[in-house]
Amino acid sequence: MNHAYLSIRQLYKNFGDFVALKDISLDIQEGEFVCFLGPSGCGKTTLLRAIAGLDLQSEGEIFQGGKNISWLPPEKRDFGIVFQSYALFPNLTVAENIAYGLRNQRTRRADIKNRVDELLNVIGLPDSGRKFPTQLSGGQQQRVALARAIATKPGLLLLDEPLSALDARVRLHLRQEIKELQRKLGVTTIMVTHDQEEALSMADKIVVMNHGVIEQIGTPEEIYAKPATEFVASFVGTMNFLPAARLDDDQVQLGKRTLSCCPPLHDEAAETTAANPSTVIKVAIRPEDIRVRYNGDATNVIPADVQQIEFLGSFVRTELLLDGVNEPVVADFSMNDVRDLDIRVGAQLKLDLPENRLHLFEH
Amino acid sequence: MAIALSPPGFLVKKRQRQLGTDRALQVLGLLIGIAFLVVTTVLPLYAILSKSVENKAGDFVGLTNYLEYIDNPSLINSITNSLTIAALTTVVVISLALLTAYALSRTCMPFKNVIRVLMMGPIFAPSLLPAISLVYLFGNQGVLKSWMFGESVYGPIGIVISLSFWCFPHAVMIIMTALSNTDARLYESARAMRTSPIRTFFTVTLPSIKYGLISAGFVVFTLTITDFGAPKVIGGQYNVLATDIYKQVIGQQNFQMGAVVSVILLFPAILAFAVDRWVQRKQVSLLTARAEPLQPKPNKTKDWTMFVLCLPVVATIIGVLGMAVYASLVTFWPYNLELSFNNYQFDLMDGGGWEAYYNSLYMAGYTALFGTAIIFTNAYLVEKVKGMEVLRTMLHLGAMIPLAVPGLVLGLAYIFFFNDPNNPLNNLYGTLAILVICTIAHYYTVCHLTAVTALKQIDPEFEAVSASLKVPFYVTFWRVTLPVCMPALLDIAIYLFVNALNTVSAVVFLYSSNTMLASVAVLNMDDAGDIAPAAAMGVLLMLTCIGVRVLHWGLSHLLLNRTQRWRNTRA
Amino acid sequence: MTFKKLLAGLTAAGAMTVAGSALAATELTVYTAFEAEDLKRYAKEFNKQYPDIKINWVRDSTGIVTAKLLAEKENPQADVIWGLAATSLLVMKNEGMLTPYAPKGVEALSPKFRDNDKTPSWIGLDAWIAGICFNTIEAKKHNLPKPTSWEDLTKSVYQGHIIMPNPNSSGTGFLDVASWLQMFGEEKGWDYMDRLHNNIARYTHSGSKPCKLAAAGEAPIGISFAYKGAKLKKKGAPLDVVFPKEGLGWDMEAAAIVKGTDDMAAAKKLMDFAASRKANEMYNVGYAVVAMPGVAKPVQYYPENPEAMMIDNDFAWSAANRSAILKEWQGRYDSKSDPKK
Repeated sequence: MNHAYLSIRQLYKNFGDFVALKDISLDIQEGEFVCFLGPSGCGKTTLLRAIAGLDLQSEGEIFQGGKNISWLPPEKRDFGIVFQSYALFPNLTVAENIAYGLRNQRTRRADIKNRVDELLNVIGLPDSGRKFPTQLSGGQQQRVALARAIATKPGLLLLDEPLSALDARVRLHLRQEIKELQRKLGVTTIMVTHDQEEALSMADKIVVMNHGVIEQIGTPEEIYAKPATEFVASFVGTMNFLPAARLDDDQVQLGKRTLSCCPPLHDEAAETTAANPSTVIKVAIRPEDIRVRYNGDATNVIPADVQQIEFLGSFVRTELLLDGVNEPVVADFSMNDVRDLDIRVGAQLKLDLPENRLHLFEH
Repeated sequence: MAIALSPPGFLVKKRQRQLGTDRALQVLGLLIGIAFLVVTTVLPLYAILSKSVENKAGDFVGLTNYLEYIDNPSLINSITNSLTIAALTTVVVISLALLTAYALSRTCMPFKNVIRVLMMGPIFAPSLLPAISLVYLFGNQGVLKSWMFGESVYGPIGIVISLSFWCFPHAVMIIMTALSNTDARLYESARAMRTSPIRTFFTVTLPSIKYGLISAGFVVFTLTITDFGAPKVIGGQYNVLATDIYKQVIGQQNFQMGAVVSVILLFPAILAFAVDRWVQRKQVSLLTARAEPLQPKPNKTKDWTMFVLCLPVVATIIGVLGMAVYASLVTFWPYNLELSFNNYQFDLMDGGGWEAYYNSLYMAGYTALFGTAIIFTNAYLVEKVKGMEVLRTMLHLGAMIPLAVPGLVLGLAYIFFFNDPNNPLNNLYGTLAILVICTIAHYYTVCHLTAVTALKQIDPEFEAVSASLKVPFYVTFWRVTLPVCMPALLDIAIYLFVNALNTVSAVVFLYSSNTMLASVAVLNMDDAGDIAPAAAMGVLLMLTCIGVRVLHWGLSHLLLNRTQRWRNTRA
Repeated sequence: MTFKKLLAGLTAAGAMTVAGSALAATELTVYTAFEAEDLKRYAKEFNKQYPDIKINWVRDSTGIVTAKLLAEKENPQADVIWGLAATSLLVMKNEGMLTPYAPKGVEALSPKFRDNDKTPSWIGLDAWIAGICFNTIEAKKHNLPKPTSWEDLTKSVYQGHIIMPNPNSSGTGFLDVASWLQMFGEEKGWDYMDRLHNNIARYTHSGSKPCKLAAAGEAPIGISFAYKGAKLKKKGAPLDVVFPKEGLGWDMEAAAIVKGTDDMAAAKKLMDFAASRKANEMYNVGYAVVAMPGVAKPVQYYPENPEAMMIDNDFAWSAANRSAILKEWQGRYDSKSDPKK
């Protein structure tokens, strides 16, 4: 067995006929910040609750710190948890909430007080100990929930959509705080989220899930730059998908044009399609990877008509029709590009689809 | 990046759930809860069912008793009578309650708060009291006898009026809840489209409270068809199913026939129960969207019209309750109208005297205390324990049964079950404990639903959080769940107390020499012709309930200020 | 029984309640249908002789006490029955629910007033006699003449003015019906009741209620029993107690030991007292006819010689036919489907 802190082996969870988790295997290293990312119903929360022992899996095993915890009740496991709803005890003060788990460990009264004060400082609410949760804002309440979860110094911190109930500005702020706190404490952390931005900005490692299976595991950069599946590509960031035909290992046909591409087709599909030319595939490219300015290093130049322009502040999102392609394509251009090249509705552009930015997926 | 690889030949192990202490305690709790309901409801009902197919010697005789029942025209007639009374009362109550509830929640009519409080009056008295009051109002020596146009109040008219009076607050409360659940934005849209008020009422108001009305209708129907007090006091020769049971058992000592009538009385109650469950499910799905609460705006014409329309209802409530109080103070109706407290000298009358009143206080107190504890704990297990669906569903379904069981049937079932010498619990027979148990079982369902609703409103993750903090679930139950649900707990306790004080039907077969109850005393005194003392005892019960209610109100304010401080403080 | 195992553990609580009451001085649970106002007086007299025996009364109307006793047949709660209709006790004797015992001085009681067995299963205490309570004020309002016979009550002038107890629940109601059937014969008796039914405003569950309703003016005439009428008249109700000339139905209040009592010695003492001269004098305060000959003194508002007016009541016949009579009665009258004309 490897040195993973948390190791999940072939986990299944069925609700009647519905398969919520299917053959999930995953290793998490000590101190890692891992995000389970996916749309609602993908099984990410089910997986988190299985790790916590709140809803047991149907099959499979979980090891934490080398110990098999697969069938232990939650109170015999070692984790702290924070929920989207905060789940703060409304009738207890902030300090009592934070001390809730400490009190049960028969910690000395003075020690409890010190620990609570320390945590209140950590979360930046040193004077709020005597307040009731409802007297705090949502973000403050979530911080208290966090403090309560780490008060007993658990080996594993589970965050179930902790930021989803907050408004955008608070969310942004708390995102950084949680990340910073996690780094400082070095506690292994799993966060469930459906927000790709949150996952990309916070995680050391992202686990993308869909329909109860893991689609891809990787660093944020890997996930974004090298999506393993069409689902990951479409779920994380924006991606244009265009129907194309595979000609050989480094050429695809898009409309009337032949495009060169250096990356092999993702997944095992590479072998099958390579042996079978003119297979229908999808060629994909992110809006920001489409270039309108280039210095002779262009690989795949295609003329395009600008159909729509959407001004988004620091950049402009355009909808284009590539010559010979029926599907509209979305491309992002900087304000400089727009000004310098006079990009407007009806303008004709010559675009480059850089070969190293093309992704190919099986149709 | 670590892709997990499964070792070759990995064998999927069958689940071996480890029972933690928490888990073990929860299972134990669920089993005890189920055992409680089985002993207090299921087994007694089984006893009554089997009694109905036995002869006097206890041999199985199939449907012989039922055939005998069908052969008896006067008994069969009671079915029609019961249905007639229930249908009439339901129509009367729902129309009046809709009017009143609408006036209370949708207008700014004058004296609204006073009227709101007055409307609840009948709930504090046993169903016998309005019936007794009607005797003084419309009986042969009644002050308003001429209003009856020569009809006798003893019979269907009297029963319908008494029961309408008694069921009225229940219906008003349900309909008011339905009315307050309506979305204000619908009315704004209607106004924006220049819809006439009447059209608005029929297209917006009525559809939105449809399920509330159906629910109220069935609550009234069940209360009416199973009530025993009113027909007993004022029914005259008009027999209904509930009085038939009493007569078969008490008058003719024919327990088998009593069991047969009980089983028959179960049918309409079960039907009403099924419809109510169906409606409840429908209603929940209606309340998904976050609705804007509707604040009535003053409108002189509408407000005063509704006020005038409500006046007769208000007058009736004041008149009926006032008459009961007055009659209890008159020395010798109608020949000596001097006021005195003679009728309150209960020790000189049939019915158990002041002792009965004190017994009732003890009984109601214990019922409120133990009932709240048992019902809330069970509701907690149903609502907050994870997994163990089978046990939780059993407990939840068990908690629903009592709603479909009329008190009289439950009481009779208790005789059959607990007085069986083979039953190890037969020591309970004749004690205050059996009265408490029976009353808890009788009123279980409504309390259970109240508790479940309150529990649903608190965060579902408290148990998960406390497990993660390694705090046993019962500590969280004690430190968090109970305090947070304190208002609901108080509501349950007061509901149990008031009903325990006023119930007749469930306990009339079960009281003994040492456990005579005041509500039964009202019945027995009226039965013996001591109507004025019966009125006096009824009034005493009503005043007690009102007193306790006021105490409860004050106490909950105090408690809210202390333990619910967090509720009122907002950032 | 399957539930036995399941519940065995839970019985402790119940057992303790029982144990608690057993610790007190000797107590007897006595089931009775005596009038409520008499209970304290009777217990006081009894305790003068037996101060260490406490009586726990269970009082209700005849029908209810009888029903209760029969319901508890398998698991009797009562030690002694003191003051219940003899017809009810005859039913219980047939069910084998009584322990025969000859109280001290039982020979002094009139033979009519005791079980004829060698060791009597029950003894009579006093007779309770039918009577009609007639409200003079209400009668004047409705121009009703004072009835003097049972037959008078069927006259059309009384239509809707008479209340009587339902024999199914009331001992008084039953003794009325039984006496009419005995006096007039079965056929004529039912015919009489058919005619009487036309005049009845309603049937009450209790035997004293018709008289109380008459006293309150709810109806001018209540068929009830003499004791109640006399009592209410004394209290100031505008009543005349009428004793119909055909004869008066009556029943005995009787006493017996319930089989299975925990304290036979105390139960016997109570039976001895119930048969004593002292007790008979005590009954005589309200009842004009008591079991011990020569004790009775005339009671106010009763006829001079009530015993002469009492019919020759065949208790055995009444008890044997009780359920048949009640069933017949119920079929005929206990339904509003018969429109009252």
